[in-house]
Amino acid sequence: MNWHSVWALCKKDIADMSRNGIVVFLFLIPISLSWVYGTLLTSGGLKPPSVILFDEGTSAFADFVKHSGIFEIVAPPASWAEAQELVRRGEASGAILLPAGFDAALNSQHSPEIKLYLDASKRVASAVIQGGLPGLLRAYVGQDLPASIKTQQVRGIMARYADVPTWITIAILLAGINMVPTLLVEEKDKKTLDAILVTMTSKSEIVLGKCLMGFAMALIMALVILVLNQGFIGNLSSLFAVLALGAVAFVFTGLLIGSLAKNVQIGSMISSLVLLPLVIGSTMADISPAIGIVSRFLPSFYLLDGIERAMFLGSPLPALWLHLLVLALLGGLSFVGSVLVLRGRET
Amino acid sequence: MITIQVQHLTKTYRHGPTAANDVTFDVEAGEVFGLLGPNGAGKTTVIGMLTGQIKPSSGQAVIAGHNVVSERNELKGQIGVVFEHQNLYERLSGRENLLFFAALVRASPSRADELLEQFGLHDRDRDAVNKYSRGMKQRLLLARAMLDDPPILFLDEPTSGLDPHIAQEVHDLIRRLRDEGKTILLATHYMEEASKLCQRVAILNRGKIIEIESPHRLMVENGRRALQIEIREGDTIRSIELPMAQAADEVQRLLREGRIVTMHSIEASLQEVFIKLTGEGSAR
Repeated sequence: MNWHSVWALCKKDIADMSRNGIVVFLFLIPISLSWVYGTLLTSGGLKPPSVILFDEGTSAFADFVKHSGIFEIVAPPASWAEAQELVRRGEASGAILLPAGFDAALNSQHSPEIKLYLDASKRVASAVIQGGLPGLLRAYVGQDLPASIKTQQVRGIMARYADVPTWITIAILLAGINMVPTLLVEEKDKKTLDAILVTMTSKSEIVLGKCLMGFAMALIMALVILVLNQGFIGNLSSLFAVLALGAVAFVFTGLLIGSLAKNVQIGSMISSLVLLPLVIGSTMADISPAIGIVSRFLPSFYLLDGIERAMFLGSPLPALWLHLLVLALLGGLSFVGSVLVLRGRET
Repeated sequence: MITIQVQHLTKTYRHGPTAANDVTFDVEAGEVFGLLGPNGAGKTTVIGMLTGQIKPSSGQAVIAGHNVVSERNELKGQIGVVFEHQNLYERLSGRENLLFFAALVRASPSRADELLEQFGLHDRDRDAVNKYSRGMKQRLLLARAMLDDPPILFLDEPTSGLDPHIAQEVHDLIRRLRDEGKTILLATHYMEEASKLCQRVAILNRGKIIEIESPHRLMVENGRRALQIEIREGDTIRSIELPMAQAADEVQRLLREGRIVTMHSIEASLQEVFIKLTGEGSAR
């Protein structure tokens, strides 16, 4: 292995890619989005769910709800049917119907019925409305909770860096699966690879040189996202081990795509086909148990989950053995695959 | 001394035709040897096998004492290649291109600067290659092939698609390299180029060599042998062509009559030779 050639390839790719507008754009996207979203979440907090409060009478409870600040109250239409229509059209997350004589019924302990009409597709908003309304009702009638609830927050997840693992995963996947194949496919497309192959440079050196460049690109993106969002928390040695191994694994996967693709168009198509399930599968693993099981078949899940565990649970390295093993296996197999594909190319 | 020895080299692709079929030739040290044939004749395949990019199906080739298959790494230090495509890093400058390849062939950065100067590119060496003309790119490709000063050069269609004056510029550079003692294997489909630059040419058609000879001898042996004479007829001048066999008596008669204005021999073009040898008319 001639490291001088490996370094020369890496330096050349850095110079070449830094003048490629598309690559620079792809490099900046996850970094800037992570910063913008992190800043907006921190400064503005979470948006309250929008609710139509339809009062058939003139209940004081309606004013109590309005002033609680838990919901964003949408001006009610003329009828309950119209309120339901507005929810169906997505103009409000839910509607609350207070029947006529609500206060009087409460005072006479007749247990009046409140109707809730919710847009189930807005999962977070629905949960907030369903959970928030009983609490407001108890507070309105001055009823104590049957038990006191003492809240203690663990894992210290602040809005600023709650999404950092997702952004880092997206950045590493973009660098590995989308940008790195370009490094190799362009060489094939423009026949510059032929010029390299008639020098003493071996295929392994070419693959390693490009990996070094891709690795640097993925790691710089991850580090900038961590710095911008103050994400250096948890077990840092575990965090960097997962980041480094994840970057290597997906950069080698990108190189395998680049080796297989005959030209830039085919390379972009394969990259997109691989990138989409990896991003969606890993970021949506928490939505349902079934999706969680399917996600475990995707290597990107182990990258995202590993980062989350290292950051938010402070997991030590031995606790992440499965994550590291999956990423190492992916990297190893992809590297061998890239070299074999390139080797087969000369005949 | 023989520098390139090619024996029965054959390349058959799995689902394709035989791109090179029993190719055999030798090239002497310091010789400019032409591989001449139309597009698709197998020139690039032969160069690919000789430069270690394509594995031959059978046969063998030895270049500067190294077998092209079993001693590929040793071979790479002895050769420079100019590819048919202008395969340069277009976003990088000419200097950055040369510095990168200099690092790969273990040449010093000063060698890159020396070549930029030598090939007349030093004024634009910081410009991105995508701003270069085709001629400048071709010069840069030649400079790249010369980075480790290899004794043997493979030039695959070095003037294909170039304007005549730029092609002339490239021809001058090739002559200069020949004068420096380089052994050059030149693949071309331009008959005129081969006759200008090569001491010998191998005519390649459908993967097979059909003739190896000096361009001059090929023309003499395969062309028409005739005299072209301009004669005076009253106030006008007329051109006539006489086959060599009947020329002696006729020339004497015209000389006696004092009617000859100019007289010279007609030499066959390599195109005519190619058509005669192959029975095909696809070469230019």
